[in-house]
Amino acid sequence: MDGLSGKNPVFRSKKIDCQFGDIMKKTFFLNNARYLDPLCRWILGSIFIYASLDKLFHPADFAQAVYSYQILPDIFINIFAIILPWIELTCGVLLIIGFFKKGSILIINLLLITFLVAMTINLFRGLETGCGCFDLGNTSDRINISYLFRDLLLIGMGAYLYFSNVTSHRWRRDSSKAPSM
Amino acid sequence: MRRNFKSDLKEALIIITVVSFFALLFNQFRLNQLPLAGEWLNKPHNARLLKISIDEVKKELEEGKAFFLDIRSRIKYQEGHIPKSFNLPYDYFYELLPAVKKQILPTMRIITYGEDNEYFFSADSAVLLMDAGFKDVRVFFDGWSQWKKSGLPIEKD
Repeated sequence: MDGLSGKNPVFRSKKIDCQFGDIMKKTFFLNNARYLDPLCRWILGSIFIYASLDKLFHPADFAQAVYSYQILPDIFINIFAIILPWIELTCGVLLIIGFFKKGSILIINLLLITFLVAMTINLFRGLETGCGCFDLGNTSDRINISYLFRDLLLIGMGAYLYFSNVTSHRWRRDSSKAPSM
Repeated sequence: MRRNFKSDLKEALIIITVVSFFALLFNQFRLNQLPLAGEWLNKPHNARLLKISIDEVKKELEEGKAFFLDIRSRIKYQEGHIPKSFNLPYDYFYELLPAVKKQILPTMRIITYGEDNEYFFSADSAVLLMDAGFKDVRVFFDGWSQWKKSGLPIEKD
């Protein structure tokens, strides 16, 4: 067949595709996707579960933290403080078990972007409020530029998870459509 | 690059709807329940409205009618503070409030201050003081750092 492939344009194009595929497989992200994907899911999921816990147990403190950002109108502060920790917890768990994965990663990305915008606004305002990210009791935990980088790192992870197509878990509903790795 | 953004959005909306419903339901039955709205609206303030400028602070100090409350830590307070101010560290606010309360006359205006990058804490202290019944409270947002930079009188303990 090799002899034919040089003359026949169809075979030639197949050969090129094959080479291109080889190159792609050798790239880090694709080659390691089956390890990188669950790793990112576990890291991001655990972070969100951990972040939700203190907020779940101390909703009033979290409402105070939300208030200190001075972004949301007063009327939405408590509702936001009630709902957000549960969304974080649920998305964290769903992401780890892989059920409703794309939906939960979409929410997580949206939340991370919201946090990033809120922190950036307050840094520009010079309003160094408590972060309210993990430990609500730690009043010396003020937002600074490193928090933005941390958030960006997590957004990168989230974006990677959203665009990756690894089909290694049992909950996946449309496995027939997924490309093989 | 990816399929079906719509179906992902649908998934996300399902999660948000279901979780929000259960979160609100759970909140109704939990012990440390948070009222849905109202708590922030009922507060007699918006801390930003309590802001007072350095010139006004200077004037208040000269008149001597105001009560200055330094919410920084004890050590920072001892290193230097606005003359005649009292120290009420934010971290021990409730423990030390009764002692400080005795020093404040009902006609006095209270001015809280801290470091300029900590002004949420001075604002929050002002709010807590209002909750404790004081009516005339102001926040010196620029705080100690600005005071020191301006070369105004300093007192040390």
